[in-house]
Amino acid sequence: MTRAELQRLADEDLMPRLAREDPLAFEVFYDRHAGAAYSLAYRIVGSRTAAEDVTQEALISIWRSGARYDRARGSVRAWTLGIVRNRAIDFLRKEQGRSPKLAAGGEELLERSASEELTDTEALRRETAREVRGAIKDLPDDQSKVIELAYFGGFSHSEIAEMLSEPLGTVKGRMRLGMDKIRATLAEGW
Amino acid sequence: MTGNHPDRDDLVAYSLGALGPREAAEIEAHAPGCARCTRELEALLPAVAVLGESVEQVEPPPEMRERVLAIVREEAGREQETATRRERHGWRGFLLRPAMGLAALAIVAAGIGGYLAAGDGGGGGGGETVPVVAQQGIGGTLSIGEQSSMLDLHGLHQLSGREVYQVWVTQGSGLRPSSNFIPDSTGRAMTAVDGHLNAGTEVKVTREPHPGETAPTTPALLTATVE
Repeated sequence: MTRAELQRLADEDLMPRLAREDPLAFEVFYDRHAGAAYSLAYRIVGSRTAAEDVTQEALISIWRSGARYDRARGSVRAWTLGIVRNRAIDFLRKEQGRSPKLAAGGEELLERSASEELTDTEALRRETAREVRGAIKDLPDDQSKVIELAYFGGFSHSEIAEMLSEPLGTVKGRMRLGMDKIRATLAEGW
Repeated sequence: MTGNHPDRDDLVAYSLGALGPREAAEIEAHAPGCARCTRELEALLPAVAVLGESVEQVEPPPEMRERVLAIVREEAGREQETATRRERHGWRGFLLRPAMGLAALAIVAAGIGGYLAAGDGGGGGGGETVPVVAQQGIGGTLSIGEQSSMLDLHGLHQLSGREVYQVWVTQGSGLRPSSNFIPDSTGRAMTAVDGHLNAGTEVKVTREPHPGETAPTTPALLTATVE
């Protein structure tokens, strides 16, 4: 299959070719997801060098275990970002004493050029991402904080409760309320 | 827990990776057999996924692309060579393939386990078999071959989540990852160790939180030393 043909495949149809160890299929996969993977890693670990290491390890592990993708467990993008997130959190945990990066440093972030050619899927993803960013910003601070500490910081709910000096039940309740609002935002947008 | 089910708050915390290992293990044990909790977790998936998508997009460095694709092309080339060898040598070549999926290994093991246990077997022609020195009730052998060797293990604990057993090859001060594998339901697994193993080489296995580690993150569960 040529590169052009591979580019026309949906993610879910591309993955079996990765499982068959087709490097051209991986190249297409890389071009679709490496940017999002690197951005998430950077958001979590807070350094470009570490984000590069984390992303590289995660993508190579996907190449080596492409057959493990199971479409019942979500989209390829979600699966990929889940792997990147786990790697980045592991990195933070290994760097003992390092605090999670809770807010993105604006001046270092380079939003991709608006003139960059986007596929419909990528454009839709970015629109959804913008909506979710808005939804997270609109959450009450106490809800967005516990979600950020859990997802981007890798802290357990009991660690978060201790950190914020709040009862565990309160922390769990805030997570649920916040996630319900994000779900509602998604439901409105689709 | 609500009745026999985890609390919804706990399912949300689980989906965010915010439960402790024990609580997470309870959900992982319960959810696959529970339609209600599976539905709830599946409903949470898109919301968790967009959290990862919601970050500001940063351009990755172009050299990362070159580096990653170079590794992939090199590994694909090696795999192609192995496949060619497999075609030439039939089933024996098939057994030499490194990092093979466990399902395939398990099927092969069921059919020709006796052959492998006999010594020369999956090792690939060298014939020497060395015992593994292990802990936690694990046992097995390493059958040494010229270009590839075969670890045949039993007594392995079951894994959870994305955990894998990872094989490492150490020679002198050098260490490289080899295959990774998941045991079958009886705790048995066979996996190929690629490359020629010189005298003094140690083959070790660790339990890793996910595939792709470049260095062990946990102590070795077993060691086999080539004499």
